[in-house]
Amino acid sequence: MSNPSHAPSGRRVRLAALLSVGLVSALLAVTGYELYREFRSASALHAQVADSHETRSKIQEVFSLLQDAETGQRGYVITGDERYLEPYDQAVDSLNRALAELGQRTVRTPGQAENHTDLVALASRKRATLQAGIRARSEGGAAEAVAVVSSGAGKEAMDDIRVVIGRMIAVEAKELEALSARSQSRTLRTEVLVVLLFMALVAALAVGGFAVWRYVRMREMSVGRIQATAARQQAIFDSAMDAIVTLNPSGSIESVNRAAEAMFGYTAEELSRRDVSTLFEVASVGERPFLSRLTEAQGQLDAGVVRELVGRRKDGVILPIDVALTAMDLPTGRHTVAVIRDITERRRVEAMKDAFVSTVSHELRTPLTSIAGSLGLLAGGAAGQMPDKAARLIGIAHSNSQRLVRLINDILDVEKLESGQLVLALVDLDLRDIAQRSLEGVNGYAEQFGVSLSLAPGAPAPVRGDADRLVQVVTNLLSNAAKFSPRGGNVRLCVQAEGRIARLSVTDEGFGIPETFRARIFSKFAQADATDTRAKGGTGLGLSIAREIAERHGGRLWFESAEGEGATFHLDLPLVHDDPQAGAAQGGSLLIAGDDADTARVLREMLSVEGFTTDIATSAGEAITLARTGDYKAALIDLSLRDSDGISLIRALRARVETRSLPVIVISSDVGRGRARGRSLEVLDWLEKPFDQSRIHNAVGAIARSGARPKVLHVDDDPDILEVTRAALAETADVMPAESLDAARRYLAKHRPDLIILDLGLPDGSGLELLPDLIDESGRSIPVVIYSAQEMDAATGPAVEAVLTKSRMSLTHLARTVRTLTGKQQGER
Amino acid sequence: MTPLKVLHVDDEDDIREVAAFALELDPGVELRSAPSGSAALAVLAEGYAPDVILLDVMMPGLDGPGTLKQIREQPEHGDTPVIFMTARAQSGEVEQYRRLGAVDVIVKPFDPMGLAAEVRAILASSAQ
Repeated sequence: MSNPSHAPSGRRVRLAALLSVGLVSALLAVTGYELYREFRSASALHAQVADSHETRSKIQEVFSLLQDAETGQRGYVITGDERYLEPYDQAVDSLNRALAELGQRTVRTPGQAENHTDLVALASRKRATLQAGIRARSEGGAAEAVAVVSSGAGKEAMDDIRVVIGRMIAVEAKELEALSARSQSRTLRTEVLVVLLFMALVAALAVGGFAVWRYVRMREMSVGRIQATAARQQAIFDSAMDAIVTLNPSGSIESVNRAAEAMFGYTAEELSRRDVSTLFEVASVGERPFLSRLTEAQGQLDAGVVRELVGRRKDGVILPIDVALTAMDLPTGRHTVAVIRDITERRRVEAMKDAFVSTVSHELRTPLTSIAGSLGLLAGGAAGQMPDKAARLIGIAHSNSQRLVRLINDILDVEKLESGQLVLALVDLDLRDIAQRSLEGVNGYAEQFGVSLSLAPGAPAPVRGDADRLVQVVTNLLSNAAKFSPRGGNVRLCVQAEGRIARLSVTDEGFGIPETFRARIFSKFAQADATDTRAKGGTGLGLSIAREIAERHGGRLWFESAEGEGATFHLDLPLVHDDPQAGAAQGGSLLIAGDDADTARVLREMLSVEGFTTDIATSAGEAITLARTGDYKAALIDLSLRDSDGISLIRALRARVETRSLPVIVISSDVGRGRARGRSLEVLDWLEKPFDQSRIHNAVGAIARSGARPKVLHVDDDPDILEVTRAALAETADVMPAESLDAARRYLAKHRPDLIILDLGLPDGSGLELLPDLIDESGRSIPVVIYSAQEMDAATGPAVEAVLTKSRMSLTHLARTVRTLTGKQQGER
Repeated sequence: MTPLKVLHVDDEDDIREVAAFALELDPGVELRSAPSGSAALAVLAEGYAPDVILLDVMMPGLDGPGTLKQIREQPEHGDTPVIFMTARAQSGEVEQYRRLGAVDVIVKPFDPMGLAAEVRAILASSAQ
């Protein structure tokens, strides 16, 4: 799933679904509990109501028993019949039990206990009056009994009892009423609660359902997007002109595109799961680990690598191919993408070009040999004296045939130089001898213009070079000087050793090189003035060839000129030392990474003069391999590489333990001139956030060793990082924090720190904008540690390069920088 | 003074003629020309013993190096100096010709007025 923007919202949806499930469960539990409590309280109420009814019936029972006793007593009093005493006795017996039971029931009810006590007292009073009646009847007869009954004591007691019974029943009724009211309010509360809970439940279910729906929909959409992306990529895959093959970690073929099917003559099904050696001439399965069968160093695959291999078609035909290999890290391991280009056609064109050049070389020169030979003989007077006019015409024809010869020679030279076919036969020689030989060769030519050539005396200057090619260079310089000198002028040739350089200088007395022509004087077919070509007979290729040859020698061809005062061309070549190892031993080894062979050669030469040996890598993969295996003092990295860019390379170096502490100097190509010359330089270390204390410590520690307590300017918009750095470096250095470009500039206007730690993303611009300010009048730069979380991408890469180009530092300062850096390294060890 | 006997081998008639003009400017040169490698071998087989052989490299049929090889197989001409004359004379190729047994290479187009002098100079330096 390559769309990262979905991850968080997918997570949100899942979280919402989970929350609503939890909420629904909780609501269900609360609702269930509330209902359970309602049932419980209802049944308790029911029991209480039943109890209250029981109490009321007990009260009624007591009253009934008292009436029964009174009825029995009345019967006996009126009739004297003993049978009437039987129900009386029963009622009196039951009355005690009923009163006791009632007492138990009413003891908890407030007010009812007093009523009960009153009732018990009244009942015994009533019983006593009844008893008195019965006694009067049995002892005194009917008249006495009537007198006792008629006294009204019994009726009075009975009336009191009625009042108490009424009170008791009223208390019970009130109690029942209260219970019922409580039950009603409770039921209402439960109703409201349950309704609310159900509403919440419904809402939670709705939210959960919506979240699930959203999630499912989002999944559907991202699946759709992925399918669209896959379809798009499949279309690209299938319509690519180059063959594309993906390989699984063991080297079996996973997929091939149509171009691959066409190129190798297999169908995709035939190739599926076959070993890669089916297509390429590489070691077959089992002989070596898969990736090492394709490429020497596995680490190279990180940056991608291009190999020239031999491919084999199904029909057995062999074809030359370029294979670009890139690692593709998937959950199942390191897969490889191989993009294959059939270079048969390119090879054929190259062969054709070679054949054409060879044909030109031979076929044009053969007739020219006759023409130029005949004209030379005529012009030389071999056929006797000619009339003046004829001699003049022969002279024109002769000089132009000579020019044609030179033009062909120059074109062939350019072709050889550009195709890299020029092989130098390097031998030890004296640059003074070369000067002498060239001078002798050009003397006759110079005489035509009435110009004299002279070589100043001096000591020998030993160099290593191809004598014929160096003579070609010096001859070109001398003949140019002769051509552009006034009649009677003098061209001075001088050879001297300057430091580690042997310098040959040719000075003329012409009118100098026009300002407007200086920038393109070394370009092909460059002529100061179109009419000059005819007048002076040049091809416009000479200086371009001469400069190439000088650079192939690790040297340099340059000039000084003031208009109107002639020009001096200098050929600088490395001086050969008596002990060639002495220089190398002093400096140590450096790694140069850059895709421009000329820049690399110029640097190599310049650094060898300073006593450093160098290895050159043209691709990031190569540079990483070399850096891991070699013992380098520092790496000089060009921002432009064959397979990557310099910043990515620095990051890759920083990511590996074994190359992490390799000091890095970034070289920026001089983009303005089209061709890199390695002139603009800056010292950088490139750290990635998050904070790496030990690295910063090392960078500062190196500077601290060089003398007094160093001053460090730390530019970062994050106050916490500023604080942490200041604390981390407290013992080593004085750290001045600056939170913006403006603050940094204000500080730099007054102080010159020993090191700058620089964040790129600042509130008022990019930290890179500060780089041009760091170079003082003498061209020295303050060391910078770039320390940023900012991603380098296609957009920022050129910006870095542009800034570095602006903050150019002269070539001579590079050596000083390298020396300082490596000196510190040594001090550190 | 004994004349310098030169055998010039080139398939181009014009070049043979120009070279003849050029070499004969030097009165001390005695020149024989041959239009092909096999013709040159025939001249040698007649018993002609040149002091130097100027040999074109690219010729139809038997080319320069092939001719040189056959010349070297004849004991009486095993030491005769051979100078290649060629339009293809980049530094690598010159080395290659020397390895084949040529004393030097004269690059075409040559300087006709100085050709005889150049041949004498090469012979003088190789004799040292």
